[in-house]
Amino acid sequence: MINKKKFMMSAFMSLLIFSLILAGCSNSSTSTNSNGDSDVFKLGGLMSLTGAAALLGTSEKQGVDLAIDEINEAGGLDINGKKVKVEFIPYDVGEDPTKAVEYTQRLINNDKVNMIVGARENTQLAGELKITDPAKVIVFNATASTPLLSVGAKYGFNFTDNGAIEKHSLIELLADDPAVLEKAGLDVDRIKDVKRVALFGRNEMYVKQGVAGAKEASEKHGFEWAGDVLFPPGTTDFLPFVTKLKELKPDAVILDTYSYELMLPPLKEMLQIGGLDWTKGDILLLGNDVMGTQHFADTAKEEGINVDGAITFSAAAVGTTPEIDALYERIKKKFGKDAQVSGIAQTYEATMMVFKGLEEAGTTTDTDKIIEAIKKTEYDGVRFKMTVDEYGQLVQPEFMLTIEDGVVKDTGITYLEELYYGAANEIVE
Amino acid sequence: MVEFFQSIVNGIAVGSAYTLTGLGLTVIFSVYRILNLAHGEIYMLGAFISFFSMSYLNVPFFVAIVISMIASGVIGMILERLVFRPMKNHGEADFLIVTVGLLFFISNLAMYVFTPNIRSIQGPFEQNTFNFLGLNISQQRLFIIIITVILIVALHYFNFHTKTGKQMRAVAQDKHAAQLMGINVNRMGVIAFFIAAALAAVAGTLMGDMQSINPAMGFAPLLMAVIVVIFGGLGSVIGAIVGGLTIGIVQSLSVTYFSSALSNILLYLILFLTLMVMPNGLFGRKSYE
Repeated sequence: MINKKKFMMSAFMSLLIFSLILAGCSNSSTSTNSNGDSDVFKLGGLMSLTGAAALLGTSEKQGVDLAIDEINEAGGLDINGKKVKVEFIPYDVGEDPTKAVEYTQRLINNDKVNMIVGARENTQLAGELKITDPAKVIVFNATASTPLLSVGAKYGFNFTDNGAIEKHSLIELLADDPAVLEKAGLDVDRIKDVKRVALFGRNEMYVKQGVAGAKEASEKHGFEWAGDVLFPPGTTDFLPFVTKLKELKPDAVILDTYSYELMLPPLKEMLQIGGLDWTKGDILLLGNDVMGTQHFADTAKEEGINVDGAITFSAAAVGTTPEIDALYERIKKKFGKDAQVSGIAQTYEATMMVFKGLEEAGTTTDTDKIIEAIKKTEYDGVRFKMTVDEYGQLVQPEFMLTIEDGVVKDTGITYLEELYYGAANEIVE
Repeated sequence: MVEFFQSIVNGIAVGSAYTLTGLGLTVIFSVYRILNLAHGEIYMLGAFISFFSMSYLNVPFFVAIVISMIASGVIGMILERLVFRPMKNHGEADFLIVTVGLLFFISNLAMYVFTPNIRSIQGPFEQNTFNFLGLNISQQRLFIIIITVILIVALHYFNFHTKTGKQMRAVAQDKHAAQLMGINVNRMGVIAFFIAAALAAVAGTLMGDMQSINPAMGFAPLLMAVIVVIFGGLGSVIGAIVGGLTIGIVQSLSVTYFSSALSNILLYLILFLTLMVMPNGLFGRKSYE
């Protein structure tokens, strides 16, 4: 028995020593040049690959994978004439904030990265940024929609809107010139009937940012703010909350939820309880960029929900261009025909812009230099020319969309500079 | 005044769904004395079984519910035999850890097999509302209330008017005494898991029709069901009913008259106060004595 124990202990110790040697070998394989720049640039990743946000997290990872593969196939990043390959080190953080902190520490201390893509949940980012900012580690994300990564972090970049920017665009459209609305094929009378605006969403940072944005835009353009109904996280039944929304007597409702399980049930309730039925003209339905996808319109239709007449927005115009088609084809070729092309493309382009910034900085280690370079970088995205502002916030146009006969249509109306004020540049407490 | 009564009606409608989920937890607790935290995953599997029955077997909604009840019941029986029965001599803490492990195992397996995509069950309900004295209730909500009442009556009949039900109550009251009386406790455990899983399948399907289904859908209803059964009293059927309805109504009234974002805070406050004054919940103590 003792011999067996000794044998097991020896075997365990041997395995441990062997693992440590292997770990040592893998670390020593990365050489460093005289400037401190390595032959390999390591990009860390904190992604929700499991849990409720797995769909978005997987798209994010695929976007980064595609960008890295293309860069490496072309020989690597061009850092001062030297080719530097990119290595991606992703960790699955699910929806767990403690995992995000744990893996951030691992990425910085063990994997020695100075740039991380993700996480995307605000609760995760809050903990992550407390570690990365003092350590001068750059964090970027293309799907987080949070000011934490722009005004909230010196070493952060937010490559999408932030809750407030896009709400500004919805109210901007309500206040726009009737002639412009008519030219866009929108129901001018219906839009100009709107006096009171309300917002429905989950009680979380993104939505609070949205409430602040919608409220300040409403006040700016002379609309009455009917109020907001924020349901707590974990809500399984929306009936009481939709009833409360009805009591606010709004003319227009912004549905500010962004996952199908938080969009379809409230819409069903709104149709069922009466008084909030947009198909009968009770309200004007305003949605977000998720509602502005054809996939959502189709899914809603399958559920018996007609979202015709809703006004939404998107960071990309609906009409495709040869550049967008080409990118989507590359994505489908690599990840299959069911790949979430727009989500993958969004992260792909953000990653490519960051890589361009790295090349322009001429260093992969001096993060202050890299930050400055990315802020000066212009990247020709397939959707629009991408730049970031002084806060590290992507300056992106909002393309206003509507749904007609079950089809998402571009209205041709676009807003840009007029959206960046107030809550767009601050963290709402 | 209409606003108040509409809130009560809404609360009953919401509470019925909570009750339906809470009943399954209660049935298992009464026999096994464990809070099965993997119950929400059976709720999720039940919804998926209904969905696949309707999509691939092209069966009508009500037939899909029956298939889902049977299939989920069988899954419940398998879990009882493979996971819970071998653990029966372990302490409560071990059981709790096992149910948490089971929760993550089933949820992640479902995420892998079903993918995280959102799917929807197409129920037969029209999007219209019944109006009575100025109060509104949708066809779908009314159906959930009716089904809940039917299942409660059926469960009551089973418990009090069938031999197996009486045996199960005997096990719930005193497992060792029941064993001495010749009752097969293992068999009671299997039946309890079958019933609980079948109830979860109904709840998952009905709520899946009203909302949508995905592999992560089980956790939030589980949390609400745990609140319901702790509030009502663990192991008490009447506790699950009163607990579900009370919580539904309190939630509805708090959204109407206070802040919607604070509704859960009020809910937990009531839960804490109940546990401080009545540690076994509203009906828990009576059912064990």
